[in-house]
Order: sequence, then C-alpha cells, then structure tokens
Amino acid sequence: MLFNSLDYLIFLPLVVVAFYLIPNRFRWVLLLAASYYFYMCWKWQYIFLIVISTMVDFYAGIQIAKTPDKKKKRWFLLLSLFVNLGFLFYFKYFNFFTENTAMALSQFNIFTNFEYYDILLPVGISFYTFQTLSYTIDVYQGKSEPETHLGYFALYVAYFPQLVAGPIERSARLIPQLKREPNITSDDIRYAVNKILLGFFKKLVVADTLSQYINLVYSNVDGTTGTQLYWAAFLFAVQLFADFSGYTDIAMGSARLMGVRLMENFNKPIWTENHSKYWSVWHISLTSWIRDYIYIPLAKINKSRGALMLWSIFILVLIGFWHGANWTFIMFGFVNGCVMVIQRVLSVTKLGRLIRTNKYTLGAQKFLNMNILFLEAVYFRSVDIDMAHNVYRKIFTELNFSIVELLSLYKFEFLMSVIVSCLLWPTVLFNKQLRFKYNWLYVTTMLFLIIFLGQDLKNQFVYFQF
Amino acid sequence: MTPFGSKKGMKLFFYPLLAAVIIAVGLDQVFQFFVLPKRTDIDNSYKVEKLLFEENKDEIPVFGSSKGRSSFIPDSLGDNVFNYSMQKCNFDVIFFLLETELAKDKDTPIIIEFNTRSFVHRPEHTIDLATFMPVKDSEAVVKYLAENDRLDNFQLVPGVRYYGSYLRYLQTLNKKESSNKITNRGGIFIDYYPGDKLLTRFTDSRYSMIEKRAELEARVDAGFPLTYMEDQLLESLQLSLDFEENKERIAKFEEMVKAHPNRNILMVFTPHHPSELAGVTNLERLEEIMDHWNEDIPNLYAFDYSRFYLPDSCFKNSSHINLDGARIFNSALKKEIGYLLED
Repeated sequence: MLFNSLDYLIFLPLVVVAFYLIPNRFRWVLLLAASYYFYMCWKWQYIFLIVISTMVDFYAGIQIAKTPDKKKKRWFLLLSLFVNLGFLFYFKYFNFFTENTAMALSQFNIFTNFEYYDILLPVGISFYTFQTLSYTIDVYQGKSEPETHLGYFALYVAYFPQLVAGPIERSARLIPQLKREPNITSDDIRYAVNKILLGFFKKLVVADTLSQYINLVYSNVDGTTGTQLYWAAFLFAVQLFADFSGYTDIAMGSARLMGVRLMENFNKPIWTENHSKYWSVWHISLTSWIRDYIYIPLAKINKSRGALMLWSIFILVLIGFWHGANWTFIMFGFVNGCVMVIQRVLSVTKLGRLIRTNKYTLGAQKFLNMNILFLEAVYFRSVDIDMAHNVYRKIFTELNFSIVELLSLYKFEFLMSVIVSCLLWPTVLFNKQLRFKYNWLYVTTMLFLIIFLGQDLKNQFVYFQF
Repeated sequence: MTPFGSKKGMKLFFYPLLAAVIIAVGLDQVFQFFVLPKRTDIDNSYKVEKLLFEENKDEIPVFGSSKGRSSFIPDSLGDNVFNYSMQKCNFDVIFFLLETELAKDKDTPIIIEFNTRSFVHRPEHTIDLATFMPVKDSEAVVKYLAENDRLDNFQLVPGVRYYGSYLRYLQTLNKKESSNKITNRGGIFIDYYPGDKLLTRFTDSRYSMIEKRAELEARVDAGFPLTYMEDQLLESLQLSLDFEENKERIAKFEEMVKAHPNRNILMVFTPHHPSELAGVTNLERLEEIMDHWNEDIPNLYAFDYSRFYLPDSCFKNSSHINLDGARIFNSALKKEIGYLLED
C-alpha cells in the first residue's frame, strides 16, 4: 500500500481509531495485523520473507543472550547474518553479480550461460534487513536485551509506518515505545497531523511535479542541452529530498498518532558546508547504522589518517551499493567518498580554516558543496554509467545561462517545477515541532495546495525501490 | 490521553479530515460549475463531450495524436471539419472515438491520423483520465474506462474525480495560448520555427537511439552477453523505433470499418521529418498494410504522406510539423482527398 493512495487515507484513520478503542495489551495484535496487511497489499507472498527474518532473529537473539559460550553466540549471530543478508543478496544483488561475472569472464573469451532471473525486489527489504540486523548485533554485543515477546518483536520488524522506507530504527528505541501505554497530548496530535500534511505536500505537490520535468529530460538526454541537464540535476536533488523526506514525514506523523516517536531522518541536508556534514544530516538512520556497525569497527582495526580516509570512501561506496545493484550507485558512492576525503584534506589547510571564519566565504563553500551534490546525483538518477557520463559531458561543454534555451523544451513542466520548489523552500524553515500561531491556517493552506496542485501519478516513493 | 479523550484532541484529529473533504468537494464544485463549462475546443475533454453529445450530421471528424492535432487545419480542409486529435492518443482512444462516431446516423467521411505507434496497446499511458472525467456521466465512457482498467469506482466521487487535473483544465481555458500558437477547431498549430539548433538536437537524439540499438544488436550477434539494463534498453529501443504491428488491433479496426460501409475512413500517415523514419526497420510492413487497406477494403483509404518533402523550417520538432508545414501539407492533402470530403 502506498502512503500516497486513497487506500492509506482510509487505512490510517481506521487503524488509529481501532488502536484507541482496544486495551493496550492487545494493541500489538492490531498493529501487527495492520502492518502485515499493509505489506501484503503490495505482494502478499513476500510477507513470508519478513516472517522468516522475524523468526530467525527472534530465536537468534534469545539464544545469543542465553548461551554463555562465545563461540555459540557467534554461530547464532552468523545464522542471523546469513539468513538476512542471504535474502538481501538473492533478491537484490544476485543478478548483478552473475551478470558482471559473466561479463568479466567474457573478456577472457570464457562464455557462460548467464540467465537473468526475473526476481521482483521485495519492497523495503534493505530497510527491514538492516533494522533486524541491528537487533541481533546489539544483542550479541550486549548493548541491548533480547526481546522475549514474539509479537512485539514481529511488530518491531514490520511496523507499518516505517516498514518499507525507514527510518531504520534500533530495537532499544522502538520496542519500548510499542509496548508502553501511549500518553499522547494535543501537541502530539497536532504535530502528527501537521507532519503528515507536510509529507503529502512534499510528495504529491513537489516531488511528483518535479519528476515530470526530470523524467522528460532524462528520457531525452541527447535532445536536451547542458543547461537543461544542469537544471534537471538540481531539480532532481530537490525531488529526491522532497520524495524521501516526504515519506519520512508521513511515517513519523502516522507513528506519532499512536504515540511512537520515530527518529528524524533529515536535518536541512541541502545547505551544508561539506560532504561529511551532508552525510550526517541526510538519511540519518542509515548513515548512523553504517557508522555504528561498519565504520567504527573498521576504524578500530586501523585508525591512521590514511586508513580512515579509505574507510570513508569504502562506506560511501557501500551506501551507494545499498541503494541498488547498479554501477551507477557504486560510482555515486565512490565519487561522494572521494569528494569527502578531498574536502577533509582541504579543510585542515590554512585556506580551509580561513574560509570557515568568514560568513560570505562559508556561504560560497556551501553553495559549491550544494552544486557538487547535485552533480553527483546524476549518477543516482541515470539508468547506466554511459548515460551519466553523457549527461556530464553535456553539462560541462554546453552549460550557459540562456533562459531562452532553458525554456525551449518542456517549458510548462520546468516552470511548474520552479514554482513548487519555491513553495518547498519555506517548509525547510519551519520549526521542528511544527508549531504555528494559526494552526488552522497551516492545515487549510496545506490541504488546498495538496488538493489543487497535487499530482495523480500514483508514483511510488523513490526509496521504495531500495 | 487519546485523540478521542478530549474535545481538543478530537478537534485536532478530525478537523483536518473534515477540512480535506470540504476543500476537495468545494474545489470540485467550483470546477464543475464555473471552470469546466468555460473549456475551449482545444481541451481534450471538451472534444470527447462534443463528440458524444453534439449532433452535427455534416461534421467530418479528424481523430489522431498530437501529430494529427498539429497537422490537420480544419479551415483548410472544409467548413465541417473538426480536429478531435489529442496528445498521446492512439487506437486505445481512437477505438472509443470511432465507435462513438460510427454509431451515429451519418455518412460523412472520417479522417484518422496514424503513425508507426498508433496500434501500440498501452492504456495506462494513452488513456488520460483528465480527458474523460468531465464526461463521467456517460455510460459509454464509464464502460470504456472500466474495460481498459482505467477506472476505480472511487474515482467518480466528487472531490476525487478531478484530482491531479485542475491545472490542466485551467491551462486550456485560454484558447490562444500564446502569440505563437494558433488554434482552429480543435487543432493547435505552432507559428514559428524553433531553429536548426533545437531541431538538430531532436534528430541527434533519434540517431543516437538508432546507433545504440545497432551497437547492442551487434554485440548480441557476436555472442557477447548484455547486462540486464542493456537488455531492457535494447528491447525498449526496438519497441520505440520500429512499427509495432499489433495484428489483433489492426484486425479489430478493419472489422469496424467493414461493418460501416457507408462511412469512408481516410487513414493519413502525416509528414514526418526524415530522422523520424530513419531506424524504422519494418516500415515496409506498414506500407503493405496500407496497400491491403486500399485494395481490399472499399471504404478504407490510406494516404502515405510520411515522406512528403517539407524543409526543416516547416517543423516544430522532429516529430511535429508547424503551421507553415501544416499549410503546405493541407493544401496537398485537400487536392488528393477533396473529392472524398465533398461526397
């Protein structure tokens, strides 16, 4: 079920009303049933993957905590890793590895009978896999206690607001919230409703309007100019932010209606002074996961300056690859990692320090960083490496400031994209609590914009494919 | 506290739901009673409504895609010609329009613009709900949308039915959209040449698609494996560059024509920029079909203007002609089919 569907607009109020009508001890049953139903609306067979992951991790968690034998603990951890990463590998990366192996072998005149398996990627597999992995790793490391109630654990894995695109929550944060009697105030309700409206606005008005222009440009790269491609790159970064943060807003608002506070996934990511800062405020739940479970253990192995730089590039390649089995994502991560390392090296120079002391030069640095991020996102959006390089070639050889040229194609779509991007801007400045002096005005304005300017494209969220 | 435990909680939870319903229905009604009645004849839904409910025994309709909309100038072809062509419209929509027209007690000819993509069946792309929602009261429309899996019952509900289309309806209120855009009884014509640079970009785009297809096909022929993405790309290039001969749909069309011998159907393959025909590897199949129509179905005529020479300055882009091009084309077409239009 998509958040941006009429089904969800009926589903959510029904679940919330039912949630408050039944006693707290039975609420997990309702939420688990609702979560499984939510997921099964997409492809019911894949619920078995979630169920298997749940059972294996529940069992592994208890066994890890129960057994004093370190070797045995490790075996149960490996079981959890094997099952979860095995599913992830099979459904997401199997074809990528086999086809690239076949391609590599063909360079040595060894031809294999590679067959592409038509595997439909289970929605949200990367998200819930990482979520359940964090649970078993935390239990293994003694950072959290194992959950002994299968129902609550199953709900932790499948909790519908954040099941398909995060935020990737840690068990120590989410399970206690699912268990306790929610004590929500009118502030919580107002926040939840405002957050959901903001999410719908970002998705239906901003992201889906932008996607129309961007899709047109990217479906006709040869027919568009470098100037148009540059603007498409800029607008794609805005689309990605609006789409993903819109999803997260709806997820956070939906959960808050039932007394659960999901973690913030974004903190004004577009206007940051360097890539390190950017990756600490963009998709926070994923980057903090990678930091805690991969980067820090790696840094413990070797924390020399050179090694840390290498680990930084490595984890960004990993983040890129997490997004999808395509060389474009690997390149996206690699370029991000390289730029981050270069920025770190420059930041400790005299010039780097000087830039940070002046607000104008710092502003220029943020502007430059923003442009680099937009350009890197070309890899993210392109279908293949050739396409991405074609886009770069055109941007770097044809970019100019001719408005006539910019508007020579897809004028209406471009102007609408600019208008909705301008509408998005004030929302970035909203206070985190989404408190407004005239709340009714906010609600009414948002509703009007969503209904009047919203697109009926039935586009799924970009991050659903990951 | 729960959202329903206090008056304030109830208000905060239910007010937005109520406000959403009021705004959605209010906007719907404003459009229903004040905006939609002001649509002009370039609006797609206006065209469908006119075809469904207007009785004009002498009218000669033109059905087709945006190529047809920018190619047929009603004034140049005759006083009774009306251009019903719409963007993205192929036989997914033309079947419905044609059925509606053929059900009328008339004997005027029908002009249909067609091209290499006309018989592609992709209703989710070609059938635009915004075109049909203002005529949702017609049983024929509802049946047609349902048959093509384009309608859920909730989409007929006031407040939901026009969602996502409001700006589109507003856009077509202004009949003469700009000083460079001329309209004429359903047709929209661009009165300028965008320049060699833009046209070259379109043709380059086409040629690079052809090149890419050739490169991928050569790799397959040499026995080198393609990646999944490349395989998908090759398939989509083959589909978008070639003529898609959908035998079932062509047969259905022929049956419809044969069942109405009193109506002459004039199929016109409109002028194309040479780059648009380049890379169509099975164009001869389309030509054979046109020959078959001309020879075997008495009331079905095919006219091939695809290679009709027009200088580059007569194009809006590589797939659409501009007003200058349309004038030259209509003058030639009138000479050839004039006798059929006057009968």
